[in-house]
Amino acid sequence: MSSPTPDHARLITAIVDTLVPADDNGPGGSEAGVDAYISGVVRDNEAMRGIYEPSLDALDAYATSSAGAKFADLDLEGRTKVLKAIEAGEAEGGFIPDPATFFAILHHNMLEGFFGDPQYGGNVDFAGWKLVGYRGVKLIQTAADQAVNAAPDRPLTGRREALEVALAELAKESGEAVAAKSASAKIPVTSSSSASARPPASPSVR
Amino acid sequence: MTQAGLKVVALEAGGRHDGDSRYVADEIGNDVRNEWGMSKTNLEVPTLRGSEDDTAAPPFARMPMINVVGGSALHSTSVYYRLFPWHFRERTETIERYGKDHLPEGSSVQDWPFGYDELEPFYTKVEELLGVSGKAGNLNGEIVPGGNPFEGPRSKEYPLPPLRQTGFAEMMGRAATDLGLHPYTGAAGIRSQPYKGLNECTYCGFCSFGDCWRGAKGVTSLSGIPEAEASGNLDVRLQSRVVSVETRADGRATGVTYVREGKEYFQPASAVILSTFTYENVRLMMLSKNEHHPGGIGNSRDQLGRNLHLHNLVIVRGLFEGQELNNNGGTAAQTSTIDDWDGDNFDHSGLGFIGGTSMTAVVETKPISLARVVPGHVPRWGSEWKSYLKENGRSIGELILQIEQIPYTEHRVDLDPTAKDPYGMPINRTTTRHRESDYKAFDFLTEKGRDWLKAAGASETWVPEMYGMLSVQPHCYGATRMGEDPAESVIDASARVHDAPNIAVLGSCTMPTAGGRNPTLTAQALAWRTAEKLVEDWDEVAG
Repeated sequence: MSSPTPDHARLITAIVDTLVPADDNGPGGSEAGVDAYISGVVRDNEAMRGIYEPSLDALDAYATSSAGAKFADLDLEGRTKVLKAIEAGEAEGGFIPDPATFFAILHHNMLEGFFGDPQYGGNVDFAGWKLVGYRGVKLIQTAADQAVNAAPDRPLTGRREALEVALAELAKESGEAVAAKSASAKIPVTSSSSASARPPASPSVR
Repeated sequence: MTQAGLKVVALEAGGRHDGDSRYVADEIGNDVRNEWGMSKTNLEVPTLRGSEDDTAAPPFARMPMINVVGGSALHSTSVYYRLFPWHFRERTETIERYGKDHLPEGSSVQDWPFGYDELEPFYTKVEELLGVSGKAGNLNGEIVPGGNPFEGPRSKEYPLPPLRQTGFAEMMGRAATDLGLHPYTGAAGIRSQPYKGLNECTYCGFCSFGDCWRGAKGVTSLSGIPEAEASGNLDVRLQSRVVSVETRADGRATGVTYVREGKEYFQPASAVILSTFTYENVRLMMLSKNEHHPGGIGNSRDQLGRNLHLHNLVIVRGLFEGQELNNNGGTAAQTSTIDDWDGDNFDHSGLGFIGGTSMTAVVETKPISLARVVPGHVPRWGSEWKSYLKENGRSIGELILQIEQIPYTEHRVDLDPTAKDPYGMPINRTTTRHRESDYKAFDFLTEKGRDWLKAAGASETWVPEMYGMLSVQPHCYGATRMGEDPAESVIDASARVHDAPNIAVLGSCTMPTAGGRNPTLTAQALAWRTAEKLVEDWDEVAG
C-alpha cells in the first residue's frame, strides 16, 4: 500500500495545522504545504517511514484514549494538549523510538516544510519566509543588501530562480563568455541521489 | 611532491565536482540531508557513548563531511584562522603561568613537538596558494592597525584584503571597541577579489554545508590539484574506497587495498599518506590490523584514537528589538571577530579551564535555522511561537563560539563492536563527554558573548541548553596526535606513524591542541609541511 495512507495523510494535515495554526500572523501549516512536505518525506524515505507509520498510529491511539476522539476530530485546544504530552514524553504507546524523540523529528520536519526552499513542496507562497522575515535567496548581495535597517526591498525568490537571476546578472555584466556558461548551468529539479527529496509540486517558483 | 618528481596516486571515494548547481543555496539538501555525503560519509556516522562503561548508540546527527575531490573544504564555512604561538606550547605555558594544578584533572594535554615559527612558512604558502582574504595584525612582530593584534608574527600580509563586513558585523565591531576589545574582520578561505584566474565571493550566504556557486572558495580542487595533475605525476582515481593499508614484516606500508565498482585492487606504494579526516583515518588504521600491527597501525601503545578533542560549538544570541539586522545573506566569514577570549589572552587564574574561543559576530542565517533560534521562554510551535517569529525574526543577532576542549586519554575514536556500514565494515565509535572544565569555560565565555551583544544593543540574550555537540563534528582533533614520545602520541614530528615510518597522517587529527578557532588552515599548513618532510627524507622513507 502507498504511504502515507489517506488516514495518515489526514492526520499529518491535522498535526501541521496544530503546530502551525492559521491565525492573524499568516496561514496554517496545510495552507503552507507543510503536510505535503512531510507526506513526501514519509513516502520517499524508508527510515522515516519506519518511524512515522507506527508513531502516527500511536498518536491517534493516544488521542483516543486520553481525549476520547481521533486526533483530527479534536479541536485545536484538544490537539495542542495531545501534542504537548507527546513532546514532553508523557504520552504512552508505540512511538518510535519514543514519544519525545518522535516529536523532535516531527518538529524538525515541520520546520523544513514551513521554512525550506519551495522547491521541496512546502513554504507555499513563501508563507514561512514571510513570517520570519527571511528575504529570500539572492546570490549577488551588495553592501546595501546587508545594511542594518536600510536594506532595499526585493521580491522573494527561491533558490532556482535566484540562480537564474544571478547568472543573468553576470551575463549582463560581462557579456558573451558568461552567457555561454549560464546556458550550460544545470539546475536539477531534485537530486537523483536523494532518497528523501520530494519533487516540487510545481516546477516554477512564484 | 609532484613538483619533486614523485609519482602520486590519489584514491578518492567520491567523484569530482561536476560543475552543476545541485548543492548551491539549498538548506534542505545540504544542511538538513547532506545529500553531498550520500555516497559514503552518511552511511558511516559514528556511534556515541559517554564513557567506556556505556554502550554506544547512533547519535541524532548528520555527518558533516562529503566525498569529493578537494574534500569537505568544498562545503566548509571557510573561516581561515591561524593558531597562536601559545597553542603550540599550551601545557608548558599553562604550567609556567598558573602552576601544574591549573591543568584540568585527568586531562592529557601536551605541547606540539614544534612551535608556531616552524609552521609559519606553511601557513603563508597555503594562504598564497588559495587566495586567503584577511588583514595582518602582526607583521614580523610589528602590530598593524586593523588586524588581529593577538596573532603570531606573520611573514607576509594576506594575499587578498578581507571580505566586506556586513552592517551587523560593523555594528558589533563598534560595540567591541567601546568595550575595550580588539575586533577585526575575520580571515576567510574565500576570495574577496579575483585571484589567479579564479572568481571572487558574491556574499550569497550559503557557504556552510553548501557549494559555492561561483567557485570563490579556496579549495585544492581549484588550486593545487589541477597543477599537480598537469605535471603528469598525479593520478586521481575516483569512486575508489580504500579499505586497508598493507604492511610488511618491518611494519612499513607496502601499499593499499581499495575497492572500485565492487572489485578489489592493490596499489603498491613506497609511502602512504592517510588524508581521510579524523574518523576515517582512525577507522582505516584500525581496520588495517595484521600480524605486523596487531592492534592496528600506530596502535602498538594503545594510543590510536585517543586524546580526542572537539570544539564546544555554541551560538549566543541576542534580540535587537525593532531592528532589521539583515543577517540572512552574506558569508559567515564576513565577521567581526574578537580574540580577547581565546588562548591565554586573558587571565585564567581561578577560572578552572584553559584556552578559550574566538568570538565571531556572524551572518549567514538560513531560514530553517532562523526559525529554530527562539529563546527558551518562547514556545517552539503554535500561535505564540508564530507571533514571536513575526515580531522578532529580523532582529536576532548571533555570535559563534568554538570553545576549545582539551584532550583526555579516555576520549577516543575506535571501532564499534557491532555497528557496520552497508559494506559490512565496522563503523567508528566515539567515547567522549563534557567535563567540569567544559562547563566552566561555557559559563565564563558565553557570559562574555552576552556582554558583547548587550553592548551592541541587545535587550535579551540567550544560549542553547547544550554545552556543544559531542557527536560527529567537522572540528574534530587529536586521535592520531603528533608528539616526540610514542607512549603519548601516534605520529612523530614529521606526521609519520611511530612504528610505520612510511605512513604519514594528515588532518586535524594530528593536532595536539585545537585552539578556539577553525581547523582547516592549520590542517592544510601541516599537510604541506608533511609533504615537504616526505620529500626531504625520501630515501629514508621509501627505504
